[in-house]
Amino acid sequence: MKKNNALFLALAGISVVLIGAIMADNITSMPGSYGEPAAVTAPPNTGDTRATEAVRQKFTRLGLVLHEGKYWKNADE
Amino acid sequence: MKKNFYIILAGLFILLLAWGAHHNSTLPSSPASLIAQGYGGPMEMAMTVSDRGAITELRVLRHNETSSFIGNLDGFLRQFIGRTREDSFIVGKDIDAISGATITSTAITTAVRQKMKTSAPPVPRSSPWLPFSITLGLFLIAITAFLRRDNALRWAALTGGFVYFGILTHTMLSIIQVVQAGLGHIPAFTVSPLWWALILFTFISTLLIGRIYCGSLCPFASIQEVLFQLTPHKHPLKERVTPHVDRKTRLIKYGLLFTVTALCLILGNASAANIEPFVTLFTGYGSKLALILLTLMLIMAVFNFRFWCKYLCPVGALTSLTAVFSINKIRPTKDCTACGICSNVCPTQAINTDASGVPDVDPAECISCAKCLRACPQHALIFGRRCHEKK
Repeated sequence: MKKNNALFLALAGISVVLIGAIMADNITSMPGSYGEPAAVTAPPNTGDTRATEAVRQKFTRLGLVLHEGKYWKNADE
Repeated sequence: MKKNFYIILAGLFILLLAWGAHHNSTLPSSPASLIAQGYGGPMEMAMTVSDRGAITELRVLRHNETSSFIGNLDGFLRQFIGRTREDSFIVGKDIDAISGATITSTAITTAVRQKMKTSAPPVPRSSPWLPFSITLGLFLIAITAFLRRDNALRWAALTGGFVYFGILTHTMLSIIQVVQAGLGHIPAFTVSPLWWALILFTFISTLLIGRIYCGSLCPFASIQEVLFQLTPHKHPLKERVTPHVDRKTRLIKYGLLFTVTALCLILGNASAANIEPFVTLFTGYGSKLALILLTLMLIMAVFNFRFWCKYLCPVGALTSLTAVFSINKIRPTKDCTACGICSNVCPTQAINTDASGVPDVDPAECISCAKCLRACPQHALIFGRRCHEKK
């Protein structure tokens, strides 16, 4: 019975660790869910200027603003 | 003392839900998060879906795609607005790709399709009373099976639950639903009648009878019970662990219930609640870690009766706390000879015996399978509100 106890506890422990890892994975894969603001990192100042302008206009219509000329973020943050 | 422990836990859980309701009442509702594997790497997106299951907004929040290639991203994303999970979401079929950006277009479309198929509410087509009635019917079969101590009827209910909740609707009682209720995300009855039926009937039946859902309807439970029959009864790995180890390990499920619920209420979304292996099994979607957990639980079920249910299931923990307040219980009568047969046959070790050998059924662990009621040679176990009468 002692061997079964040890095996049982080991497997229960592995299960708990797995569940914890799944929870952490779920939480960290969601932007903005753990305090960091969602942000768009693609700067529009490269490549074809017409496409760049189109992207800039699109992001602006979505309510995003360019932060310090580096990345886009939600206007209300 | 044990009952007081459960009562305290139940009270704490109610307080946690109340705090969560207050905390999240001032937060804006969160859009669903998607990750698409674009040409330049992962693309983070956000999507909102109406109560009727139609996409109302789709945004790209972060990406590493070449800007010049996705100049018409706005027009591309506009194609998704108003679509529901009934749509195919296939590039070239109902979605036009961005010219020159097929990989990006396919990545976004695939991510939206996966999200819609797993989480968006179905567009109501038929009467909501049909799934509601089917669920009620299954619960009535399960309750009848218990009251008549009919094992064959119980297996009929288990099979019905497996087919209907698991295979046909992919909707079963889950901690995700509980957390969503705590966050105030309660679907309309016409959109998700099954949500209402499961929550309502499980709560009522648990208060009246006991853990009927866990014992006779849960689709994952039925799979575990079948797997347990695959190996001989006297297999060495099936030897029960010591009662002390068993009792302490069962507390893990309460810890998981509180941890998952608290995390979700603090974060304001149900992402942390997606841990249950049966969701992975019946929806077909899950991370690699989730698949590993599912495989481990199925293997454990072969050697340990309902391992997930007894030690880890957070929604099982919730029904356990509810069952403590059940108005009816399995109790011994004065005809009990303290032979201990009921305690030995109980598949979840829910029956403890006191110093005189008289059985005491723990309603939190009893799954209302009626095995003890059938096994008692003196028919000295009854189900009802009568108290044990001393000899």
